[in-house]
Amino acid sequence: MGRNKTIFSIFLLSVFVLLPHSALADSYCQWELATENHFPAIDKPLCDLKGDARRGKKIAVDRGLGNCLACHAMPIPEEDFHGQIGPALYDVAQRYSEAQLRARMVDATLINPQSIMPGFYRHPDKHYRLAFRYVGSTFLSAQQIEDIIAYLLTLRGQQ
Amino acid sequence: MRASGLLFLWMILFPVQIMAQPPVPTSGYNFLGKDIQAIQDDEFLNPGMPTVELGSQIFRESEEGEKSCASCHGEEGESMDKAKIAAYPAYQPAYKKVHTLQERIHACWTDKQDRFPLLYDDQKLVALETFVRSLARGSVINVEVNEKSRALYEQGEKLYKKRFGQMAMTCHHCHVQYQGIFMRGRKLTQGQTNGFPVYRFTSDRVTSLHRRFNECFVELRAEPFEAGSEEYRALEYYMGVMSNGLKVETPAVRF
Repeated sequence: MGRNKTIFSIFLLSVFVLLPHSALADSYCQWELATENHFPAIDKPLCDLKGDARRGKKIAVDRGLGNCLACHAMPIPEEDFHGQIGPALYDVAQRYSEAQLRARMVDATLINPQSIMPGFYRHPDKHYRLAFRYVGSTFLSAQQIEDIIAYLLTLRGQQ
Repeated sequence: MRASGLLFLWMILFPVQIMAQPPVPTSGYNFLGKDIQAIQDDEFLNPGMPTVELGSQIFRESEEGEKSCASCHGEEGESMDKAKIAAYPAYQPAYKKVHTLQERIHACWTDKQDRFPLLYDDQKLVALETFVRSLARGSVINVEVNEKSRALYEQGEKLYKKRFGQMAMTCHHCHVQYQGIFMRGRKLTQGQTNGFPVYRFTSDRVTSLHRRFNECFVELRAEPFEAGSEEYRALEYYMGVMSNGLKVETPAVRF
């Protein structure tokens, strides 16, 4: 009886451990790649969500989430240490449309196959040797991607 | 007119010329502040020295009736060739494979001393490796590749340029392409192996190279390989060749 109970509880535990992963993989929103001025672009918002620029700024700064500042300089003077790897994003909204920004956020290797930038919404199955705790998940959620895009669209350089 | 044309051509070609050249090997030492450099150079301040001391103790220890390392190699390891220590990982004809320094020490441990085998990156082995490697402090690294070891070298190169984990970055990205550039607060180094095993402030311990690989993999959100695995040995071999020309700094002090 006791043994059955342990087996059952192990089974139950494994269900709880594995459930979030499979749930995430199912909730991955498909997107369609188009071209705009010869650049890859994704026209429709992911999962048809609406972004919030204020949340987007927080995600861009957060070291555990977007951490855009690791590589890009941004007009956020209250944070120290802006990275130098990617281009500065002070006037990014003037250079790229919303659809182009979305393609760059989802998977920068669509534009430049050599890019160091992580695919923030690359399909979970398209990673090599993904750590177990991240199996089935994307780097950022669709909502977070849309939030960051909403924030990036406010960056129009000197006004 | 002609001079300005030539100047224009030079302006275009000069960056191309610089970018085409392989990077000059630079030790992580040169990326440190003066105060940290002073800590590494001072034998009494260097926090890696207790591990060297521990290693030298194990070097002299022996089980009953068996030889210690010191029985053959001298009380302070003085009979070992420093240039050879700086040449690891090296191909071993007797074993028909490439041995990292730690594997070489372990081969002695099991075959010559007949002791119970240890796992790769065992505390004792790391201490011994730190001690032996520190004997060659200042010697120039000279890792060689021959026909029999070329396969491992090429495997290492492939792994070095492979994207891992959710970050999907390669070693090459940070440590070759963007070296010397700031990634948020950190200046990217060349990731040279000349200081390993290295004392790191972030973990407050002497870290072996394979353990450092693990930490890199975790940062990339990738599943690490095992310490002592074929993949890590290949990486160590490839990166050893990259470090050729640098001086051994073990135990180096890094962040």
